[in-house]
Amino acid sequence: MEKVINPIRDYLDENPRTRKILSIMSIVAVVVILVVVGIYSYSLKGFVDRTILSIVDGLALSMLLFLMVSGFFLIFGLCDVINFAHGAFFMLGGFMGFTIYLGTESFLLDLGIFGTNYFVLSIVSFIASAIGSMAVLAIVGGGIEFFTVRRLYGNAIAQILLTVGFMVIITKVAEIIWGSSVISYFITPFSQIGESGYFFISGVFNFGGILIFQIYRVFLIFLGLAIAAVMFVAFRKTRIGLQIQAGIEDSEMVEALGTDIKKLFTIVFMLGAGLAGLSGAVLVPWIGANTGHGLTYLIFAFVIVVVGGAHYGRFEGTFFGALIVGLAMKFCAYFAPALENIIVFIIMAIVLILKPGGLTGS
Amino acid sequence: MSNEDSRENKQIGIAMRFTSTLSNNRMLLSVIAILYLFPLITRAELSPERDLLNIITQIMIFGLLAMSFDLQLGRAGLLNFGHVALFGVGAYFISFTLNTTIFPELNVLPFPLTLIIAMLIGAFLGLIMGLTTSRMRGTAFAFIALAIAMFLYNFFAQNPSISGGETGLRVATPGIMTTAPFYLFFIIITFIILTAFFGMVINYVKKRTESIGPFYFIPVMIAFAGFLLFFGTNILGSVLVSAALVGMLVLHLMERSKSIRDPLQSEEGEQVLSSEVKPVDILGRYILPLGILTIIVVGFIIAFWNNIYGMVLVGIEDTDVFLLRIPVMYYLVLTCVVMSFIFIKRLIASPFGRMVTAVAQNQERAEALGYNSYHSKIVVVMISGAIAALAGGLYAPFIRTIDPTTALGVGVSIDAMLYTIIGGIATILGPLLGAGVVVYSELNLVDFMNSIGLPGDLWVVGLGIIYIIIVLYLPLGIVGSVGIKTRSIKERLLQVKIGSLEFGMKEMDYWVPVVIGTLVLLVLLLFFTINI
Repeated sequence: MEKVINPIRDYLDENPRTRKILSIMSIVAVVVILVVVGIYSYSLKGFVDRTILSIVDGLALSMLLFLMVSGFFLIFGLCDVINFAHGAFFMLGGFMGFTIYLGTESFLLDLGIFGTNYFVLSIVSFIASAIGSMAVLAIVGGGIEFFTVRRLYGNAIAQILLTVGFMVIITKVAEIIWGSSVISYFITPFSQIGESGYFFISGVFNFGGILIFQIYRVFLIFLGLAIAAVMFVAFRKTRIGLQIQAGIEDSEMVEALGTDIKKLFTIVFMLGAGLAGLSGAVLVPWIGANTGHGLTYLIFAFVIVVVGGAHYGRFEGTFFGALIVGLAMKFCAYFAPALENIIVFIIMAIVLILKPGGLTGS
Repeated sequence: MSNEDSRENKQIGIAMRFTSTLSNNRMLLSVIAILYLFPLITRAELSPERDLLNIITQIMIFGLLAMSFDLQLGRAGLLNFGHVALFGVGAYFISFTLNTTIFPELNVLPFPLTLIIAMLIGAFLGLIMGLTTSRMRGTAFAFIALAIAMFLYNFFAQNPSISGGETGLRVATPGIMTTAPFYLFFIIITFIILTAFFGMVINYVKKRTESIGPFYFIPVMIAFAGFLLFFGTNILGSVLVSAALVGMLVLHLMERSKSIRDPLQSEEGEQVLSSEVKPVDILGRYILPLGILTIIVVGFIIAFWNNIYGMVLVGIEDTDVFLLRIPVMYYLVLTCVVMSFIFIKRLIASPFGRMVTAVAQNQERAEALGYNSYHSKIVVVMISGAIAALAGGLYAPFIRTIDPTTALGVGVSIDAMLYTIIGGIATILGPLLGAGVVVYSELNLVDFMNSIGLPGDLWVVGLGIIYIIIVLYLPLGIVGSVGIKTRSIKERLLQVKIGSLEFGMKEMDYWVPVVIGTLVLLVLLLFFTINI
């Protein structure tokens, strides 16, 4: 193929320092322009308020997306399966969390251990819902891997076709049980405590003006950070975590060194589906459980994996991808609502044009 | 091919090549002829046949979509979840040209031209999708295309002013489709195809000179005579077709006696130059076959004259009538499907098609042999995009209201994938058949499930389970799995014997069960539709 002569690119290739300075300067310039435009359109106070709101919401969403996508990434990285059913797992996790929360709550109310201490009761139900949803989805995911996906390793397209089949089935079953995506299920109207329900973090921080945000979102940031930290430590320190990390790098070598790679694949599938269930369950108090979430969040998972670097990336890539997507979505929600659903694709297009391998990819 | 045959070839030239093309595609021609014949039975007033025609039209539109999907998945190995975007741009472009409120300046375009523009737009979007295949290899193409589709979906869903929002965009019937000449145009095509089909039958009668020959063509002609008797408006048509059957028997006997005498002749006079001495058999070669053909075509015209005349009258008197739309839409869609089918068949057999398959099987090897895999993938996605946009462009006037979910929702891609996988991947017929099976059961099973007290959506779960079983155990789908077994079935069919009669069914006889099967299937579907 002919080589196109491009003096600017040649110069930049020869001087990586200049390239770095130029790219940093261009990013700073874009940010400054955006800030100036924002202040100009919304006045200083409005701009600052909106920025704080976007950062809080965006961080909360990022943490949630990170939890979900890390499951997707684990399955993709180790087993090389693009799990199209992951969004459906996430959606099912939401409904499992919803159901288990209400079930535990009514059970505890009947039991009467906590009496009128609704706060503890709610926390216990919430923890039960998160863990229960994680366990149910881990069983579902492990079952799917053990009985079907296992037969098709090495045939990438057949695996995708298979997981799409499971996506269709799970979504349809959920629609039969809970109705179409028009309705979102929240905990408070269905809760049996009090008149209009009770959830342990249902208050808001009110700083006047538009600067009001739910405490749950702040809680979600810390929850996500905590789970992410646990995951990072587990992957660095435990034996199975190290095996998974090594498997993502080179699964054949890990197998040759005596690890039962099939067992590892099943465990990873369970772990990935379980993370989807967990993130679905913690989403319920904020955005609600909805049968349409499967597809929406599947797309987010794709975008994040592409942005973060799918093939050679590590968890860091997924983490930064989730941060970028979550923050960008929420900034758009507060500053340019028309762009909220489209921005993720714009980000993906930009990343693919500038760095085809993703942020951390080669 | 014998010496005599090649001399005939030179004499007749184009006509001979035409007949040999017909004889090589007997099964395809039979199915096309019957599908073109079928709408003639609709009367000018409301009749239950129209429901079935509507269902078949829908099946064909989705079959077209699935065919274009399979062109990417089966041939080029590209799994495209954004396929619906190609479908949706076609559908939305056509609806913009037919809707008077949104872009009135587009309304002046004639409908056939808009279909071609829609195909070009689809090809352009396919080019954009294809360009991303170099960025990320293999399965990651699914992400990018899906993201493009979701982008378009969100764009249309968030702009109700151009997409019609939740209630959908009203699509008017194209003006040309309610006019009589457009209908007559398709009727003329129908009769041309019928003539070709019966010409093929007569050619077959002349070639199949064994004693078993009549057992193959008599049932076909009786089936057609019965079809005309039941559904035609004039009994004379059926009588004429029966008369043609008698003529065919005479032709068969003549050819048979000639073929029996032939070997003796060549033994006796080896020195004589037979071709110069032998008189040309005008009766057997020209008069009788052409006479039979004329009788049959006249019979069909007489049998359906009242229906055609009534439809044309409705078209002339009232140009806005809804009734005319269904057969015309059916014909339009059928013509597009047949053209796409033949195009895809030729494309796959062409050197380019071989190259695409080579790239899909082993990209490195194909590149080492000097093929440009990137270009071939882009071209395949573009062709597939044009066909998908055509399907969308036909879907919009068919369904008459489109909204972002039905035209751009990812569910449509998944449906196309289900049809392709169930019907058979990398077969041209498979996607059409899969679409037929799934759409027909969808339309009927939902009501059935509701009537026995189960949620209607439960059948989708069953479909998903069937789909997963097919992915796991029958990776080639219905058509592909049958295709594997074909060889043993063919050998067994060749040796069928009943008593002393040898029913050996050769390759050239397969069109007979296809004709009778298609007719029986259509009549059965018709009775089901009328009764339900």
